[in-house]
Amino acid sequence: MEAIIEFFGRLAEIPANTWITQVYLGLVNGSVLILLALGLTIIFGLMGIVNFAHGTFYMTGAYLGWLTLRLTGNFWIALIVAPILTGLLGAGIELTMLRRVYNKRESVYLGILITFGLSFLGPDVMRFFFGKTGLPYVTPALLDGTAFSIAATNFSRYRLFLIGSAFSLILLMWLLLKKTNLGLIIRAGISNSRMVEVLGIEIRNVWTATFGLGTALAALAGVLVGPIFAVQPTMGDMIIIQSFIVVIIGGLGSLIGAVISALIVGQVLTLFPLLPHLQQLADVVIYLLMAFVLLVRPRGLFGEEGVGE
Amino acid sequence: MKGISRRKFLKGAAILSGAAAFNVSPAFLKYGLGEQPIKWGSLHPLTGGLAEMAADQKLAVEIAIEDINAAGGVMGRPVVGVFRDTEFSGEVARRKAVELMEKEKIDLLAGALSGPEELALNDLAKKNNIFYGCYTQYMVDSKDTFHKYTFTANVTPFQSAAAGAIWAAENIKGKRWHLLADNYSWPKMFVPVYERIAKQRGADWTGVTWAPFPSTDYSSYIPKVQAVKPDVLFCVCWGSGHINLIKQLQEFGVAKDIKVLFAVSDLPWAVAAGPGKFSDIHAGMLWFWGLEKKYPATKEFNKKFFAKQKRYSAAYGCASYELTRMTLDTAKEIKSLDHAKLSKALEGHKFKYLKGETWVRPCDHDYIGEFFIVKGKPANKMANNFDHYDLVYSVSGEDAAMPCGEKGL
Repeated sequence: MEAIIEFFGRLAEIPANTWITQVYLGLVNGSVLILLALGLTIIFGLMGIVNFAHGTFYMTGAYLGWLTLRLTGNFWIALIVAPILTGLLGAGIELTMLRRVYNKRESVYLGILITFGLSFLGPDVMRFFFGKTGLPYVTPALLDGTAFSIAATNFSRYRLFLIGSAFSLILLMWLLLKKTNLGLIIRAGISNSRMVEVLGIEIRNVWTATFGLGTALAALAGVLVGPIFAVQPTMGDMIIIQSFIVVIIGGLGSLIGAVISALIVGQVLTLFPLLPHLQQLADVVIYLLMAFVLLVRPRGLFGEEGVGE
Repeated sequence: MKGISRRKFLKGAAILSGAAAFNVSPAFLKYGLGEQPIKWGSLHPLTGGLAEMAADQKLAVEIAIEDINAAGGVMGRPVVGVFRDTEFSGEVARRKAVELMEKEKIDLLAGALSGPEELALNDLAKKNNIFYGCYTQYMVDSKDTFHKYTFTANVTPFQSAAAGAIWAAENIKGKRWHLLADNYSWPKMFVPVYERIAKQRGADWTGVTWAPFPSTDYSSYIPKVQAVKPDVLFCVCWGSGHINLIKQLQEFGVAKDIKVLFAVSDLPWAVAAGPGKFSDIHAGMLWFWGLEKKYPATKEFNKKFFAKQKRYSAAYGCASYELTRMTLDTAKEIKSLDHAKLSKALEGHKFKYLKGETWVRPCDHDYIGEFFIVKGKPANKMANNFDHYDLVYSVSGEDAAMPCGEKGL
């Protein structure tokens, strides 16, 4: 009892601006995870493929963004071009590699092996062409510096832009999925791809487009983090684990689950270091959270029964 | 086989056999009697997260060997580097070192960039009672790990920490010190040193903020650090974490209010962070290319290195160059490759290669040489992509080293 009182006592001592800062930073982390998790869950939901190369596409986006930035000197062009190029690359990989295994027995495992292999190949390709340490990104002048301060918390322009970009993408994705024919087909495909095929829709083309879209989202996240994180061949390693945890907590194939879960995980990652006596758990808390959710609700917070089994 | 006479066929076969025999023949047949090369076995993590630094180490060793051979080799014999990739693993390092010893019959063993590699190779050398040249931070100078035939041209974590703390004590008015570090064994070695020197120099040690290892985002920990209101913030992290922290400290404007010192830094990370990202941040460095303004030998080394890599070497390149040179030059001086004699000759011996005079302390084999404190430049003051720092301070090796008696050696 004393320990609990002491714990809450120490929590109360943490200044308000520290809480504000951590919640804001948690929103930034959550925004990056939203972009990655959306792509991952769309691909899984429609195609049943667990894309272990998702972190590699995130890294590829960052590298292509750097290259575009170097060639054009314009961050905004890089923000558009890099995801498009990576999306095309993703679509190409789906067409040439993944499509070959769909009708095979054990296609799920073959898909995993292919993407797993790509996750090793991608960083080595980047090391070969771009070197081994990392690439410098420059924050665009328009987004450099502090936008405003609240109670001694400085809200940087760039991180606010990152949050805004992620939520804009959520809106665009919602519009795509709810208001367009392609979105209708994707949602129907997530629900029952066989039925979609029977209705005469060439589902494989939808898969290609979806895989391209998913990888483009990962690439966009890669370009967006370039000015604030190290851009190097292994940059996808840690974040892909976090993205998988987000998707599992949210529910495989659930888009709303991916968004909510990303925001929760982002906050957990940022707030835990503040908690008295619990900082040591900061390394492992998201794994504990995932384990808890799986115990209590195996299909995830918003997952549907049967999806992912 | 129409058209080829038996005579021509026999001639061709003899030529081919001779060529094959030449390649598999003992070295003395290839090189001539008395010219059997000395084999310097060198292990580096050429694949993995630190591959670029490892490549710098390897090239620096190759340049050292070229310089030695240009001066006539060792005892009239050319030196040959035999390189292997440790794959960033202590176990692989050990296995490949054994292969070098048994199959390649190397004369001397050297290597390591990470702690696990160093521990594995030192342990192997100790069990086999052979020489081992350590390229990385020297962490095997305790009673349990010390090996009388292990030598290094790199500093210990104690020396890195002490140098930074001495700089802070002598140059920064404010005395509140704090540490932000990755939560694993290497940064933990720095804590008692900071505590000790804070106590000795009247500084107020406010403790440590630990970040999970590995970290991409330190921003969650920066408000915690700012809440402590330190005057000096020491940072200990490596590789991509180092790059991330540099970027995020700048983003949050930490270096404007607090004197930040990275205890150990290196050029590839400043380059990867971007131009001007190191501005107003201080760092401790074993060596950097800008020392060419002070030391002509560094200028020569830089020229050779840049010609091959189109960039300057990491500090660990310097450590590898110096270790290779000091070992083989000493062998040349004493005219012996006997490991016991070589080790005896290295102890207390003075050298001067890429910086001022350095020497190996006999009691613990600590490398005693200058340790530099640099300050980052803003982007508009950089002469080129590599010109990230100015030299602002140096700490003598003796001042930064742990007293011999304390190690119980």
